[in-house]
Amino acid sequence: MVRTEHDIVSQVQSAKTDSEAADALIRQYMGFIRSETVKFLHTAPENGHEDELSIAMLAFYEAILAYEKSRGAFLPYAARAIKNQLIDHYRTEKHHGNVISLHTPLGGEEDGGELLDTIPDTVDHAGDYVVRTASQREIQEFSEKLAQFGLTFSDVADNCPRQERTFAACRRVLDFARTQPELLKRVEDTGKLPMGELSAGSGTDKKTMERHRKYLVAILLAFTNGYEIIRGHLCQVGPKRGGDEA
Amino acid sequence: MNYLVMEVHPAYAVVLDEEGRFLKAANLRYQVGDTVRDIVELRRPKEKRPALWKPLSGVAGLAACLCIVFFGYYQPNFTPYGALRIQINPDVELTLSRTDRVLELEGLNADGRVLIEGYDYGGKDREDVTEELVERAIDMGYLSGGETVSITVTSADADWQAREEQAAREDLEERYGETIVIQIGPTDEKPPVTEVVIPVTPPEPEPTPEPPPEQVDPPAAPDDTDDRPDSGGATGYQDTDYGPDADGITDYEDTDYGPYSDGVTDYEDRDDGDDQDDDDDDGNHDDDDDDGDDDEDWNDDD
Repeated sequence: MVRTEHDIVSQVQSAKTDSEAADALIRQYMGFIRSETVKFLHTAPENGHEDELSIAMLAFYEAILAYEKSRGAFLPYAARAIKNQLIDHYRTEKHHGNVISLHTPLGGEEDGGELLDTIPDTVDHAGDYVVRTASQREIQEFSEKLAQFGLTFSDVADNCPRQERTFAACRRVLDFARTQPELLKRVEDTGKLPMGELSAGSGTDKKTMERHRKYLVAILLAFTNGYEIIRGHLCQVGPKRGGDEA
Repeated sequence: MNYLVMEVHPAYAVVLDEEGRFLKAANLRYQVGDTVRDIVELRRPKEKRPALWKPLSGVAGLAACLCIVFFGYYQPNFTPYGALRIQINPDVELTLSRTDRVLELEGLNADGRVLIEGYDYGGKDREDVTEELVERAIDMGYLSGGETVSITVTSADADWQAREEQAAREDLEERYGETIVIQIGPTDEKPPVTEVVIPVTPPEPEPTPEPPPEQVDPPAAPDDTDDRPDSGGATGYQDTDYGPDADGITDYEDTDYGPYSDGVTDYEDRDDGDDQDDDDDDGNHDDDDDDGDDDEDWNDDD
């Protein structure tokens, strides 16, 4: 099947809003992304440059989000976006200065092992595994709960307030809701925000809440029963609030 | 800051930061449930504000076009900027735009109205119309060799006026200069300034000059009237030009101003110590002044 530029444009347009379409498009253009990365690295990404490939993929995704049909063809635009992002990445990495890879071969020998091997392994691998499996299970559960209300993490991330002021307003909603377990329960049961009560209790504008409804549902759900690990990760939310009250 | 990886996609991962933000970041081989530290966050395209000027730009453009048409075309061409008057014997006035278009043609006397009757000036400029009107005047017998055509231009813009006069004159002279006389300014039929002739009678004899106005006695003094028997009789009030006692002689000539001044200002009468010509009543004595105030005696130096 002959792909034309027109097809790409429509694919990009649908990928802007649909994360699955975006994933599909990125998989489809993996070769392109890889070749652009190689052009920048002058070596295969597999030779210790996997991060650069990931950055290039992110750049491709950014290009999808930012692309405008009226500004020319997509692929040249994406190629430029990838190159710019890689340059940016290279510059920020340079700040880290004298960092050597843990995978540096020891003593210049080919099979003498790597630097990584010389560091004593203090990590409790078994415990780590348990924790990770547990958090995976919990996140999976959380994800399913969100899916019941037609939400994905991608949606939530897209809906997350980016302005500090708006974020603080959403935080007030959360702080208030945590003092009202019955409100959290209603959110958990219905997936709907009790706008009136939350707005009256937190002083946040209803419009702001409506605009960030998906995010608020997700973050309120995280504070219902059963998501200990996620809540543990959000330790910053709790203590700060406690500090405010003290 | 630690981030909990919530969801992984080929190109990005959704991570949760410790403050409760869900972010998209580069997926550096993350797995769900990982806690990661340094992320490369997704840079979102700047949200475009709906351009408020867009709907207005059409209106603004239209307004700009209208302005250009109005000020660049309509105003110089179709609004009156000045008037050109041609006086042969027919007297016609052309209303001109800045660009010399003839906007209106008006006959100022009967011959002028006859001259322009049936004449179409639409779309013509000053040069054409003046030439054609002069030609018409010649054809209709109003103008023959050696006679004078006078042209008067009036406008608020003096430069424009001067240019127009010059141009109109040159145009006509070029064409008719051998046969007729072109003159700038109105014809001499009427004198330019209307003179008012005032009959002048010889001045009255000096002894009773018209009092200068500043020496008029204050009217507040009730006893200081001429019709009382003890009045000085020298105020000249009896010499009124009004009312039944008018003597028919206006005393205008006895002014100290203007061309008819007799050269005698009566100012020196004030303090010369000689009351002979003084108009006030103190040829008599101050004790006549029985109103108790001295105000009218200020010029009495004795």
